[in-house]
Amino acid sequence: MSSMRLFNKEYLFQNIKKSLGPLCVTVCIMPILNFILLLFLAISGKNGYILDLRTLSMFNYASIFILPLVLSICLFGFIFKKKSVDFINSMPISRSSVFITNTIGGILIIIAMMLINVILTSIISILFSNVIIPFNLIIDYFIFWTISYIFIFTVSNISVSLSGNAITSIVVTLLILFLIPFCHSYITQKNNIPNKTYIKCEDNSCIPNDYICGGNNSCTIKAQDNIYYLNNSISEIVYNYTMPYLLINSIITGNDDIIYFNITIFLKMFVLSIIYIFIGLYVFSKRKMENCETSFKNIHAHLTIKCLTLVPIVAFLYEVISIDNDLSTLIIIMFVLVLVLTYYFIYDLITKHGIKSIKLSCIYFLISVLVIYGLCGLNECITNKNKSPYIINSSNIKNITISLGTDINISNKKIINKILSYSLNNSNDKDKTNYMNVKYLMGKKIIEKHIFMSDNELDSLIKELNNDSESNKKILNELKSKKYAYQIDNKYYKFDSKLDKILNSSLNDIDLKDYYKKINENTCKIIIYSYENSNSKTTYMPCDLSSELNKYISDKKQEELYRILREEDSIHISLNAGFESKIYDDFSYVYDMVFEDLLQFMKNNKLEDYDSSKDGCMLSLYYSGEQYEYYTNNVDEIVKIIESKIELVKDTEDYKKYIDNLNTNEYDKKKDDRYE
Amino acid sequence: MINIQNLSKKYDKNYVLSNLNCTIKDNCIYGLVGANGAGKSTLLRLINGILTPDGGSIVVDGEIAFDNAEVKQRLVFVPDDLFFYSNYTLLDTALFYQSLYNNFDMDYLKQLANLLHLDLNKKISTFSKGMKRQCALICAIATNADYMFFDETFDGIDPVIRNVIKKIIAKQMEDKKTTIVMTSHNLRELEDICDNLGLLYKGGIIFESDIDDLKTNMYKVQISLKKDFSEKDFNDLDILSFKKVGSVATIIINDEDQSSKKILESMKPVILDYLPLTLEEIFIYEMEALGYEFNEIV
Repeated sequence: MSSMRLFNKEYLFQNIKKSLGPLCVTVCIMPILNFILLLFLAISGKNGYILDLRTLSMFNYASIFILPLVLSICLFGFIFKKKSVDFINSMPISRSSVFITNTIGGILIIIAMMLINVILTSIISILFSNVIIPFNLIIDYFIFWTISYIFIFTVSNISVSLSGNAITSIVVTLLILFLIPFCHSYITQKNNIPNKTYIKCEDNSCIPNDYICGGNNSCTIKAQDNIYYLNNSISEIVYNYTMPYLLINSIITGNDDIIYFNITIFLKMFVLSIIYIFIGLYVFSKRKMENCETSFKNIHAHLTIKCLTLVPIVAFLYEVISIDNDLSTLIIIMFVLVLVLTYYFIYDLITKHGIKSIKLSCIYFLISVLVIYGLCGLNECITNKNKSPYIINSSNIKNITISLGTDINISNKKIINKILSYSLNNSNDKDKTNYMNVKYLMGKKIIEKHIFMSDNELDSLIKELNNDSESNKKILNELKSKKYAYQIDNKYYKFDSKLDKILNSSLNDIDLKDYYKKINENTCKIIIYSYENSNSKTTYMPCDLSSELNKYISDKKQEELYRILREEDSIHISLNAGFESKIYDDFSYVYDMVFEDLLQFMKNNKLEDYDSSKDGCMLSLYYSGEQYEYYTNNVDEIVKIIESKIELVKDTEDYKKYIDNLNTNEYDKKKDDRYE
Repeated sequence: MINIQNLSKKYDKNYVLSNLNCTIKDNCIYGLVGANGAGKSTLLRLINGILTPDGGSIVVDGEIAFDNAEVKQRLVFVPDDLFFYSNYTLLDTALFYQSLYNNFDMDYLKQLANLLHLDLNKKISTFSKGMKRQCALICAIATNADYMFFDETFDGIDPVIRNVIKKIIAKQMEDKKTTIVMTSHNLRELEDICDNLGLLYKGGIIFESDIDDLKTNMYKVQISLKKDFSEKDFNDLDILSFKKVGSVATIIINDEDQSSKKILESMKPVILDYLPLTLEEIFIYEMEALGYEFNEIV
């Protein structure tokens, strides 16, 4: 059969024309909502926004389940009514042609919707400098969500071809999308995720210095065998599933880390979409067209589908029962069973417009509950047999990722063992002030550990990293990766070529040891955002990495200060640090009198003149819910401004009373402290 | 020519059509009659590829019709339960047909719409039931398909328009050599337009004949003789029905050799009248002759 005969553009045009209203709403609603959100962010966010895939996808989370189904029902809805079945199927167009035409039409509509979305997003990104979206992210967003929408659309096409009405097709779609992943994850999560993770340090390679068992025998015995407790939380990378299930899973578990662009998920959905198109074509061609206006003509098919919808509820009931067997559990079970039975018959009312074959329905209900319960029990037995601590041999850890200013992937065995040793330390020494996040990837399991290190430990680690040329190369690559935005204080900027040039020249003669030290110190840092290989990365860069960089950052801060002073109406100034206590009190009294002078002072004293190694002070500007921090070494000048105003009021009764009150309060406070 | 052989169709476990055999010749108007639920609509929906047969075959001009877009270009179907897109005008609907039927004649449609006083630009949903059927019929006729299937053709149409449509259908058959299959549960509706009739009963066609043959061979005679008489006095004739009220008898005769008049005149009757038979009467007597109780069938 030629492709020309399979795709009938006249039929597609007519089919779209007859549902033009609903289709327009379907296609436009999501891009419009997304556009409004971005516009709102653009207008309201003076400090800017860096949009990630998650924020950009906000409305897709809901529309991914609604839009493809609506699209399917709009295009294939004729098969739910006898009248329209007669009308369309009597036309000179084959069933396969109807299916392929509608499928291609639906895919084109999805692509059109995503293109509108991408164009609107790009317009916002171009027009508003404060909404920062990397171009690659927009491309990834387009590909990822287009494939996801097409995937669910192909699933719903199968469901529509199988079912006799819209409600049943929604149920069948949800079953195809969720039942198998639910069962798989229910079984695998019970079987695969161990409670505790241990590291076996082979050849004494990663023995921790501060590992305390605290009298725990099991711990001591294990430690004698060089087995040390690492962590009790393991997450698993779930590439087995498709986007819809991962989305629901993330909403239920609250772990939305799994929602990211992943090529495995993307390919899986792409391949499944093609397979589902062929399955849908077969099902539609063989469909008994008299099956309309009811769920299924065959009562057994209807009851089987109805029973399959019970699987998650019965699995939940099983979990409730297995936790506890007291009276309250029994009441919960009875309550849920009543709910399930009510649902069971309401389902008939909705999908079949009446409760029929009650006896058969009850038999199906009992059998399905017993079967699911039995399977859960069987799974529990297998799980209990397999449950044992997860022990990783240190030699099996081939690489780890540490976050030290930027994410660095380490494969040097010596460094890995050192980090392992730090990871296994479990004492809480106060001198361990340096923080680092470590990620171990064992197959699909991710083990994360937050490490606290002493200065000596960090120095030792940095020394090792500095000596390892491979690690250095990786770090430099990471630091030089394609950047799209940076953050100074709490304001976001689009990356520009000037900064890129400055950073590259600064990084050419970077001393990594100096870099690591500065990153761990509590000094000025800018955050640089990059997006490569569909992954967002953040890198910290010390402001004083080079004088050029320092000047660039100061200029930007100065620019922002001028903007605040120029554009913001209600500014509040506070003295934050670097003054004697009397100055704070005087400042409060003469706030209105010194306000303009201080603004003028900030205009005149540029930030680039500030030297952090010398004494200085900090002023904070508060405006529109935001904060700006101003640093200067010229403390005397500020004090002078305040004191000059105090000179004018120092003889007034009001000021004297104010000082008296302060002293009394101070006296009372001291008295209270002593009493306590 | 449409050739249907051993066609079967069941809904759930009940057979609506069972081993149905039928041949619809080209360039004729074929009337399909049967009681409600006899399977008329199912048969038409099977021929038009809407339903999948459970057995047997439907061959149109030597080709299998089911799911065959090329064959379906030669078929058009107006079902008993009409469907129009809710926001479509007659013109939109005609454009829909035009987009799918290669030989659709838009000018002819406009001409027919004008004749029936149907506004092309008015939404069909605002039309009356009869007007909707007129819309469906003229759209189907304008496709110029070789085979047209009209289920419950005149349902809801007033007698005046009914006659106009009958003329349009007859003209279509004459001018474009179209084959038209019409169904009805009312024989009177079809008798003045159909060439052939098929009677559908319990999933099969139990009787099929050319209307002209039926009408030319059968006579309804009213007769009265001077002497007392009974059915036995007419043994020389092929009597299908004999009813006597008082001294006058009404006889239905199957008179293939046209000899009945001579025989009856030789009996010196007091009254001898040859009356026209309605198609319904012809069917009743033919069915009774086949051993069926007609009242059970139609």
